Amino acid sequence: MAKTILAVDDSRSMRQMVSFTLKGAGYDVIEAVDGEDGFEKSKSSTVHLVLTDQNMPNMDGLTLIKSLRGLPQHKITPILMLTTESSDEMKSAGKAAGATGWLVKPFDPAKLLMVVKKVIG
Amino acid sequence: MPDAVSNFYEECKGIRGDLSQIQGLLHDAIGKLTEHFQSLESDSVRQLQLIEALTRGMRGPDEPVFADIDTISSINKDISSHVGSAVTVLQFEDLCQQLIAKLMLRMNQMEKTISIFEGQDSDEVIPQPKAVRIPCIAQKDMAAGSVELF
Repeated sequence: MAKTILAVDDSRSMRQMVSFTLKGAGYDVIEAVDGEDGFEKSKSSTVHLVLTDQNMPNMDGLTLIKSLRGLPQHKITPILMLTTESSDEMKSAGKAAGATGWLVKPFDPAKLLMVVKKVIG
Repeated sequence: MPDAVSNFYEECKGIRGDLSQIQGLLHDAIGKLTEHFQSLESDSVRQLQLIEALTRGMRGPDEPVFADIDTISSINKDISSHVGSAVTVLQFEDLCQQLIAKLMLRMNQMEKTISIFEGQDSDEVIPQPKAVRIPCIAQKDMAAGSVELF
């Protein structure tokens, strides 16, 4: 059975590009438009990996990670940040919040798939 | 120089920097996308010509068919690689949108500063507008970003 990835980004084009890449490799993808939407969708669906942006309206990526880590079903779900932010300060904040990894935009499809495969198979 | 005036000039400098970054990203993205699409087109044509030659039996008895099949497979890998690179470069839209949003934040800050200046006496202490976190977007070109697992 295909694994499901929740892709959270307020940019429609980014969601399309992430979906195109992941679906092409056989993963199922659920899209969410911001942290709030992502949090709701993660509660109602089976999600094996979360891929989230940082700077989004309503709820940002770090807040989403903290909220997800508060849910029993997502205590150990891998969560990858995919963001333009690349400072060590932000990466440390991500790590402290419970992120599994940090990818800086723009992403290379082959590298994204390699990381996803490493994290969820 | 009062802090508000200094901040005003800092925002102007920031706006100029953001605009120059957008200009650079667009220039790089359009150049790379043009190259990838041209390569995709020429690879597709080459692949089609080989497939046609194979299917119409245009190869002579001594010509190696397997070599053609290998070439088709190799062209296919090149095509996938160009599509992957195009996907990376197409993300310029997201980066530029974020830089434009950042510019708008800076403009809001400047408007707040100007509104504070209005109606103030020159020797009066000017209060600072509330600081807003401006997102950090350091990308200068469309090269793929780093990957780190914790």
